[in-house]
Amino acid sequence: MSMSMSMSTSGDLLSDEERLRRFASLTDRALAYLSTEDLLVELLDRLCEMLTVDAAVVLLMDESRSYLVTTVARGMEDAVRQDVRVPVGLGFAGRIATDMNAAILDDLHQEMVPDPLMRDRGFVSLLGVPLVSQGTVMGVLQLGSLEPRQFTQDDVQLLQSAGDRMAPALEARSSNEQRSAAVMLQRSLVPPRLPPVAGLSMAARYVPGEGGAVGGDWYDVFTLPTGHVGLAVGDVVGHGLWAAVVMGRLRSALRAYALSSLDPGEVLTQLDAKLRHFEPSQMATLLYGVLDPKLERIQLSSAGHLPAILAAPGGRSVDLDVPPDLPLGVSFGDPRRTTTVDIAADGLLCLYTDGLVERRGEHLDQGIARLRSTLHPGGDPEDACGSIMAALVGREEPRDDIALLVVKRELVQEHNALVVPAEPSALARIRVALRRWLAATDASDAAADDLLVAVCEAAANSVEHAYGPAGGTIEVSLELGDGEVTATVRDNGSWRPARGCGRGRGMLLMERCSDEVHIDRGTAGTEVKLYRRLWGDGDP
Amino acid sequence: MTQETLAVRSEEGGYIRLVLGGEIDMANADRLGNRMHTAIGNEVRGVVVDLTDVTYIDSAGVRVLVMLASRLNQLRVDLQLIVPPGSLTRRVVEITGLEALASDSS
Repeated sequence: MSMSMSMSTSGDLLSDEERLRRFASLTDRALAYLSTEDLLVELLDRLCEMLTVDAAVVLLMDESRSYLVTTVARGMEDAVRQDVRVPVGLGFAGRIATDMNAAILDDLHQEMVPDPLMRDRGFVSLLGVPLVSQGTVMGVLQLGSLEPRQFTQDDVQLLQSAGDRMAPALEARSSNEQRSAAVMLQRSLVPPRLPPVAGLSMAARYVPGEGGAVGGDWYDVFTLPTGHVGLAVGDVVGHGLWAAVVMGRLRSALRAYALSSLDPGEVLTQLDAKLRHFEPSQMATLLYGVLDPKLERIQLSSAGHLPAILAAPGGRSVDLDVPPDLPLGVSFGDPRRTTTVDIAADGLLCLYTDGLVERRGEHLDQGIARLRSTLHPGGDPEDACGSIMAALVGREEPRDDIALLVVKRELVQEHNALVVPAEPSALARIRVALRRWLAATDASDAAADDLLVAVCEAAANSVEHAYGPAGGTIEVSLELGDGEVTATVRDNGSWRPARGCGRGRGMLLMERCSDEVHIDRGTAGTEVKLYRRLWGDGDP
Repeated sequence: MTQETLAVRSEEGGYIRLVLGGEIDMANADRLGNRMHTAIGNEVRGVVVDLTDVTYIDSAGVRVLVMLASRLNQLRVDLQLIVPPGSLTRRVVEITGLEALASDSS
């Protein structure tokens, strides 16, 4: 170490001993045991003390690299709380970031430097150094004194050493934060539990890509008020937090548009317009399908996504022929197409992202062919997901993230049951379930209509008469017999006479729409049994 | 939740047409009744209630139609129901004795 530091502007020169003491303070081994946050605070405190300044602050570049954001501060903590920002290239700190050089300002009031951070807080003399990691400026470390003073070259060197110590910790903190935020987001948006839908069973998998990196893949299953069921698997181009954020937005927007239109092509047209307007330069592929309330057919629209695979009973697994339109975010607003496909009972439908079928040095078609040969009709979706992941991923670490959704239309059950709260809003749910159950039988339309009316009138009676304000539940079940159906509507309430007038029509409808009605009003509740032949229309 | 739709169209001769769609049950019948009453202004001479697009109606829905019919009768306003043959709505209307008001089309 030489003493030729005469270039320092002014001020006292330090002894070698003092200089060593200062640097030792920054390289103290005890610092290694602190968390990043505590390390930063501790270093800022030591700097304030050693250099006898009033404030020390770390400013970090924002995502767009247009602002320096006050991130950690001592002596001016309010700036962090107020989210004070300095435009890159302007002001004292802003210029340090663009010049990548240390800077000293003896008297802020003599210079016409716009500085929203320091001037308004009464600081007079400033010293700052760039925080550089892997050759890129990631922020600025800056000191401020309320009294006029002249910083020396020794002070600059000390601050730069502190900055060099902080930069890697800040870099690690930033990427850790991003990674855990992305993982949290992905977990909350791609839940392992899917909603229960009468007549469907389903299972799904999500696996992050290389090094645990989450990306923009997702799957979604939701029911609509009409009894339709929405299925989606999509892939936002890119990785990390930003891809996960865009995925989250697309997922919510898809659900919102799904409420206002049942046509998948129309929904994707709107979703595309939304993405192009609000997230320009983002791109995503998506396969979106809407099952009808009886679950007999699905309407699909593809935004540049890989084909779904259908394993129908008595046949081989096939790629669904859904002509893909352009991916979301790159189209010209042309209307998108919708394709309708029948789903037989016991059929399995598989939706996935490219991470599942893409392998190094292998053609995409080979991966898809392997997936087709792994999918069989009639199996359990949970088992199917298990065998697909075993066959296609195996022991390999996937390069890209993977989303997989398998949905099965269940066979006709001889006994179907549903429990709903005794509220008017439950009647629509009962109808959805009844239509689905009856569609799986060979009941005539007229018989199905009659059962719908009779069962719902019985359920409406329970809603109106069975319970006090505390409420209760209604159980509806359907038993398939030989050429006839027995429907049971049961509540646990105590029957009380109807209030109001003109309510006798419900009973009339129940009787006329069934072949036989048995009503059992016991102390434990009311049970209504309705019998109806599966064929024949009009009055029995 | 049960969802209904209601569109109101003016027709010739002081008539209006109320086009109903979706499902009608206990959950939305009263709301729908209010919407229909509000749609019928004092100058209206006749009302056509078109049930062609209704996919489900129960006794609560029938009650609302009966109340509308009785109110319009007091006001000497004509009422006509359009109920497609062979539909669930037709069957419910027939069983509950509203047939007298119903025609297949108009």
